[in-house]
Parts: sequence; structure tokens; C-alpha cells
Amino acid sequence: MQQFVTAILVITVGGLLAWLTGRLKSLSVVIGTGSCVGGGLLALIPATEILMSGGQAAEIVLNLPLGAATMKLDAVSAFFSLPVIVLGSLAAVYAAATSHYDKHECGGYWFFYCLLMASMLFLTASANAVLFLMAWEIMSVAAFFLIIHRDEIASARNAAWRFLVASHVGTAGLFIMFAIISAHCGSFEFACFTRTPVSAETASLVFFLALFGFGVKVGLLPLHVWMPDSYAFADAHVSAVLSGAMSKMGFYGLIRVLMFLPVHSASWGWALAFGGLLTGVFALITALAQHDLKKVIAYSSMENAGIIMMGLGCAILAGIWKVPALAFAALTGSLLHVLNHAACKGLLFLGSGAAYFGTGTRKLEAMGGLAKTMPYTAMFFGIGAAAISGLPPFNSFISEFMIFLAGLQAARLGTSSALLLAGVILAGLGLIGGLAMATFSRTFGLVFLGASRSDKKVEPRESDWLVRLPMAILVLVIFLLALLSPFILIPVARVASMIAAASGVTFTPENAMLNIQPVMIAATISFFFMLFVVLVWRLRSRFFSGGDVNDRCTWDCGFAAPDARIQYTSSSFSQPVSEVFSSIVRPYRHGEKVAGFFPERASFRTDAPDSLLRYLYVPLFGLIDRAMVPLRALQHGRLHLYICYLAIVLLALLIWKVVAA
Amino acid sequence: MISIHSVVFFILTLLLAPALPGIINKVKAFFGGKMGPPVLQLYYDIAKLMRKSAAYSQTASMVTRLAPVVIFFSTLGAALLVPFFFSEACCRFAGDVILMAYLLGIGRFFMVIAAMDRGSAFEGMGASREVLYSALAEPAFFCGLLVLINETGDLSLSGIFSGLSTELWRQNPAIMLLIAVSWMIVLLTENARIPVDDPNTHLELTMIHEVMILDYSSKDLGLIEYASALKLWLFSSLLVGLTITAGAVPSYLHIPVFMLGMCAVAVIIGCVESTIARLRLIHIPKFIVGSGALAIIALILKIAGN
Repeated sequence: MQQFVTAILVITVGGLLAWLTGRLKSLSVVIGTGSCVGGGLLALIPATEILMSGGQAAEIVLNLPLGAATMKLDAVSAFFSLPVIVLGSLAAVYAAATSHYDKHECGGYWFFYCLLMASMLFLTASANAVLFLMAWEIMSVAAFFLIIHRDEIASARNAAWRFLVASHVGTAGLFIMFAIISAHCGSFEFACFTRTPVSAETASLVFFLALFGFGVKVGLLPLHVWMPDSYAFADAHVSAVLSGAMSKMGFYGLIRVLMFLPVHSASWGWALAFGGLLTGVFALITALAQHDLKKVIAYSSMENAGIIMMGLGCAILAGIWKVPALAFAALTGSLLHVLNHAACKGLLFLGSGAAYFGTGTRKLEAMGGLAKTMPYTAMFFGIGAAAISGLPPFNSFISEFMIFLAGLQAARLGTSSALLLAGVILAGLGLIGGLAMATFSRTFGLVFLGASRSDKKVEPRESDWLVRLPMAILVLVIFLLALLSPFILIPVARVASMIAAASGVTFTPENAMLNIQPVMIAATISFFFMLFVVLVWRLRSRFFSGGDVNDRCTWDCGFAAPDARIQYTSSSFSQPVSEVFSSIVRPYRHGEKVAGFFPERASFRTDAPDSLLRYLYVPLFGLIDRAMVPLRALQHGRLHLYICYLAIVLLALLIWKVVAA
Repeated sequence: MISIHSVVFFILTLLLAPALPGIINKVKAFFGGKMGPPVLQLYYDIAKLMRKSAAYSQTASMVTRLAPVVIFFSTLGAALLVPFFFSEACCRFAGDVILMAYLLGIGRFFMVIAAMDRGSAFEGMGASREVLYSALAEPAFFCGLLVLINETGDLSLSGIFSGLSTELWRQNPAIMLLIAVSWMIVLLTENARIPVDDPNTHLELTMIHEVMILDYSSKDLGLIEYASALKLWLFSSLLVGLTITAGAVPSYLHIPVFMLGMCAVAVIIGCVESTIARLRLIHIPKFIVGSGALAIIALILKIAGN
């Protein structure tokens, strides 16, 4: 525990030093990176120790002016600190390696980056509502300053403000939620929350407030609108941390709250299962219509949050139905998906950043053919794309497989509600998997394959080895998570049983074996599949490629001079999907029609803003804005009148106090 | 764990799979009043392709060269998990059907990115359609499957299909028929048959599967053609296992009855292809979603019946 706190301090102090030395850019970068990596390594040791042993670290009690506050690192916190540590350190290295592209002042940027990482570690370790909310606020504010880094771009400013508003609306829900629980037990300590019995109505109120508050961070369906723009306008390494680590803190919070409430209600499970399904499908349909590389990846974060939520919902329902084997598969699967998604998403964002530095654009319509000029980045991104689509032999397949397995077990249970749940999981995950495959084959194909659509004459260059190193490590992590999954599942199962134990569900070793055995076979088959593919492919190109010619032109219906312009574009690729789901995503169409026999010029472009933003939030906030106009009379900018307001309120409170007494 | 039976049946499958498209073509030729190519034509084609050397587009990258191997092995891996001849699969475990679907999925992923690799307008067109149609077909397959799991109480494909019996058809004829029809549509979609896709069309604009492999030649094309035939065999054998049911056939008749069943599926596909035209592209999603709706109706009937 001391080591973990030291790590947090190292990162924070490193951030401060990086800020102070901001004038000397290279020194500031070295201090910032060094503190993130060093602090990360320092925190990694106690976290893995706790995960491996299953024990608990000693608590630290801080004597704050508000009262004593406990910091504690248990298996659940240690588990959720892993993505923060790994992605935070790797993204810091990446940031250092790409810092010469950034012409902005870098000291403050490093400070907020370190603050973000430190606050997330602090968040996982806080076992007190006040500490938790403090860490939560620091995390949100640090993230805001990181997103608004390129504040000369109006869209980046808008994105950051939207993030700040959404984040605070969510935090308001959390304040109310923690106030309700602590009012019941009279303390802000988490240890006290778990012991306090609450009525079923209060428990439901607490759960749905938590779902709202944490749902904003994870990107639950109507609350996701800040996500695509913020991830798109932040730098690649920041997006990687925001998506891979920060949004996972939402799940951490949600799971903590579930552990406070011993008796769960079926409505929570259904809310999570259906909410997750709708989130996943909506995210992918919208992702398929996007033309900004990073927005596609951002929407996919939302989709994966949907998958994790479906798993959690299934686990809650299984706990209520007293089917531990089913709960085990669902809970372990969704926990493992947290790690898998962090690894894939980190890799994809870092890869998208490398593609951006190579080409100078994020527009899918202006990319293409990068596999020839940036072969390593292409290979890394390709692995990430296949992995995040949940395809074997990569890591996300294993976690999705476990959630699928939960669905299959639910189908066997036989009750009507279990069949419905199985239908939601199997059909829903099947559709989500298919659409994810569509999204990422499109993205990878448009960016890295084919011929370049860019009209620039400069060839993109492969990035430096230091930029590629974090990506290579993440690829390694992906393979380890996939091939060693039966072993990795053991500590994950320990975390899962700790979560389940809070609501009175105990997992027996048989439950675990029942679910881990299929994973083991699936991982083995995947491994041999990969082995055979690589082997035969090498053999084919080494010994059976005699006489092959590599200089023919692509077959285009007999047209002998194909060029990059006749390729399928991102708009054309997504047109059939947008057509089918036209009630959900409605792309704007811009351009001039083709007219006459010898058309001179014509153009076509689509643009698909988020439907909920367009049809719900913009009208809604417009309405609120108009309704609030009269209140502007109160806000006139005269300081002495503001002080007068304060005096009036205090006086009113005093009178109320006296009268009430 | 692996019985000698299932290995023999697996090898038999690998040998027989390319004959299935031959039977379909014979049926189509019969409807057209022609002799048609021999049933073994695909064997000759693949043998010829394997002897040739390949021609690649200059736009093609490593993905184009890697994809055929991935497609071949992913289909082979999926075949390990599917029960043939009313027997056990080579490998059975809880949830093997998910691995089967996702192995076919990685084959498709590579097919699609390889199509985009050559930078052709037509191949991109096929890729864009393929990903949408296959995504829409997934829920239909899984919904049908979960009703069968509920009926048989087993989580592996071998267990599910050995647990099916004529009794089940007698008790729930509507549910079983709905699943059979929806799986037939899934089969037609996944294997690029009419009315979703026309394997023999002469216009690149209207193709889906064929257009994605336009640039392939020689051994690469041979591997892909073989994988397609094997995939057709996989889906057909699931359909045969569902309709004839393992419980209804005495064990000494397993091989002949299964072969007859496979021929029957091929004849049905041939009849469908000869009698109806390919749907217009804008109607195809409705057709596939329709199959999902049938499977969901089956599920609802099952839920209501409980």
C-alpha cells in the first residue's frame, strides 16, 4: 500500500516538476515520461501482488479536516488499476516520442497528463466517498485540460466543453448517490456502506443514480455524446488513456456500488443487458458512417462498453436466479473484456496517431495505402482491428466467448426470462460482433490498404522506433492475454468471486472449471490455427511462389488504367449500412449532381453527426437556453451585488435556522 | 477424447466437400435443359489451379497473399467442430459453436480486407455488401441455436445434434420448421447463393462473394474455392442434422442417409437457384432480417410454451 501511494506521489510530483521546467522542453518531457513510467512500475508491483495472492494490502488512514478517510487496495481496485498503469506508462512513452510534432507549450500538458494518471490510481485506492469524489473530479478536470490542449481549433474547444458539462452532470448524480448511502450509515467510509442494510427502493434509487453518473463516463447510450468528439480532438496518447483507462473507471465505480448493495434487483440486470445491447448496436451503426478515423475508434469504445454492460447485467440476473456457473461466466467475461478492450483500444488509438503523423489527416477519405509506406504501423493496427472485432486468435475473442458461454448456459436454464436473456446476449452479441467486423475491416482497409487517396505529393514515412515500441508492447499484451487466457482467468476469477461474494453468491471450483475448460480448448485451437496459418503462409511464399508475377494491374471490369480515385471510399462502403439503419443514422449528403452527357464536375460527400446529439440534445439544450434567458438579469457582472446575494442567502438561512429551532 | 469415427468422417468431409457445388450445378443444368459440367468439376478446377503460378496486382500488399491461407485454415478449423454423418465432431466442448462462427468470421475479415487491398471499385463494393449481410445473418443463426440448446440441454454442437430426435419435431413442429427455414436462409446468405448472391452472374456490379476474389489466381484461388465448398458443406450438414435428426437414423445407416440428406440440400439449393431470380440489392437486407424474424418467432413460441 505504501508503495502504491508513493507511486501516486511520484507521478504527481513528476507532473509538477514537468510543469515548472516547461520552458526547457526536452527536460520537461523526460521528467514527465520518467515519472509516469517509474510511478507505473512502482504501482504495478503491489497491484500484481494483490491480484496474484488474493490478499489485501494494509489500509492507510488519512486524517483529513473532514474526518478520517481510508485508502485501501483490494483485488478489485488492483484489477482496475492495471489498465491505468500499463496504458498510462506506454502512452507516456508514445507522447515523449511524438512530442516534437507538438508546437504547443508542453509543461502544463505533462502536468495534467500526470495528474490524470495519478488521480485514476488514487481513485482506485480510495475507500472513502469523499476521497473517491475528489479523485473523480480531479480526473475529469485533468482530462478536460488534456482535451482542450489544441484550443486554437474551435471544434476541440467545443468537444472539451461538452465533455466538461457531461462529466459534471454525471458527477452531480454521483454526489446525490453517495449522499443517500452515507445518510443511511452516517459515515463516508466504503467499509461502512457495505454493512448498512437499505430498503429495496433506496437500493434501486442508488443503483440507477450510479448507472447515470458512471454511465456518462463509460458511454451508456443517451449519455455518450461527449465521447466521439473528445476522443477525436485529443492527442492519440490522451485518447488511448481516456478510452482504455478513464472510461473503465466508470465500470469500477459501478461495480463498487453493486458491492455496497447486498440485495440486487432483476430490473438492474435487465437495464444493463438491454442498455448494453442498444449502446453496442447504436455505436457501431454510427461508427460505420463516420469519416474521421478517431471517431470510428471512439464509437467502438462505446460498443465495447455495451458488451461489458451486457455481461454485468447477465451476472446480476444470474446472481438473483442463484446460478453461480452462469454468473461466473458473465462476470469473469466482462472483467476480462475490460483488460482486453484497454489493450486493443490503446493500440488502435496509438496506431491512429501514427497514421495521423504520417499523413497529416484523420479523414478516411484522404488516406489509403499506408501498409506500403508504414508496414509496422499497418501490422500493429491490423492486429488491433482484428482483435477488437472479437476474432480468434486474439484476446477479445476470449472475453466475448465467455459472455457468449453465459448466454448459452442461460438458454439451457429453461425459464422464460432466462431464454429472453439468452436471446439478448446471443443475438445481440452476434449482431454486434458482425457489425464490429464490418467497422474495423472498413477502417483498416480504408486507411492502410489499396492506393493512397491523398493528393499530397509527400510520401508518408514510418514512425520512429520509440513510437512503435509502445504499440509493439501492446501487441505482445494482446497475444499474451489471448494465448495465456486460461491462466490469466485465475486471478480474474478471484476478483469476480470477491465481487459476487458481496451479494452472497459463492463460486465453487466446479463453476470455474466448467467455464475455464472450454476457454482452454478454444485458446488451444486458436493457437494452432495461428501456427498453421503462419507456417503454411511462409512455406507458400518460400517454396511455392515460383513464377508468380507481382506487377499486374487490378482487375476493374476490363478498364486497364485503374487509379486511386476509382476505389471504394468510406462513404460508399457505409452506404448499404446507412440505408438499412436509416432510421437510426441519417447522414447529410452534400455535393453537386452529375448532369449532362459530359459532366464537368461533380462531388459527393456524406457527413453523419450523432443522431442523439442532433435530435435530442441540441433541441433540448436550446430549449433550456431559451427558458433561462430571464435569469440573465441576475447575472450582470457587478461584484458588489453578487456579495449582496450571498448576504441575502446567509440571512435567509439564519432566519430559517432560528425559526426552525 | 477424439474417436476414430469422427476423424474418418472429418477426412471423408474434406474429400467430399467439393462435390456439393457440382450437384447444385447439375440440378441447375437440368432445369436449363443442358448437360452441365461434371459433378467433379470443382476437383478438376482446384487441381488445375494448384499447378499454376499466381499473378498479383501491383497495389496488393501482404494481406492479399496471407488471406487465402487464413480463409482456408479458418474454414478447416470450423469443420473440426461440426458434427458430420450424425456422429460426433472431432472436437467438442461447451460453446464450440461460438468458436466455429468466429473462425468463419476471421476468414471473412481477411476476405474483406484482401478485397480492399487491391483498391478496386468492384471488390470494395462486394466487401461492403458482404460485411452487412453476414452481420445481419448472425442473429438468425444464434436465435435458432439457443432454442435447440434449450430443447436438448447441451452446450456443444455435437451434443445438440445428437440430442435431436423426431420426437422434437412431433412436439414442436412449428418451432423446428421456423428454425429450419431461417437456417436455410442463413445458408444461402453465408454461401453466396441465389437469391442473395449469384455465383454465376456476369456483371461485377451485382456480385458479392465472387467479386471479392476477382483478383485471385492459381493456388490462392484454389484454396479459396475449396474453403467455400467446405463452408457450404458445413452449413448443409447443420441443416441435415436439424431436419433428419440423429435420433431417427440407426447407426449402420448414418453414412448413406447423411449423403442422401446432403444431396437433398444441394438439390433444394439448385431448385431455388433455377426457379427464382436474385433479389434486388435493396431487398436483400429485408430478406435476411426476415430470416432473423423467423428465428425470433421460434424463440418467442418457445418462451410462450414454457
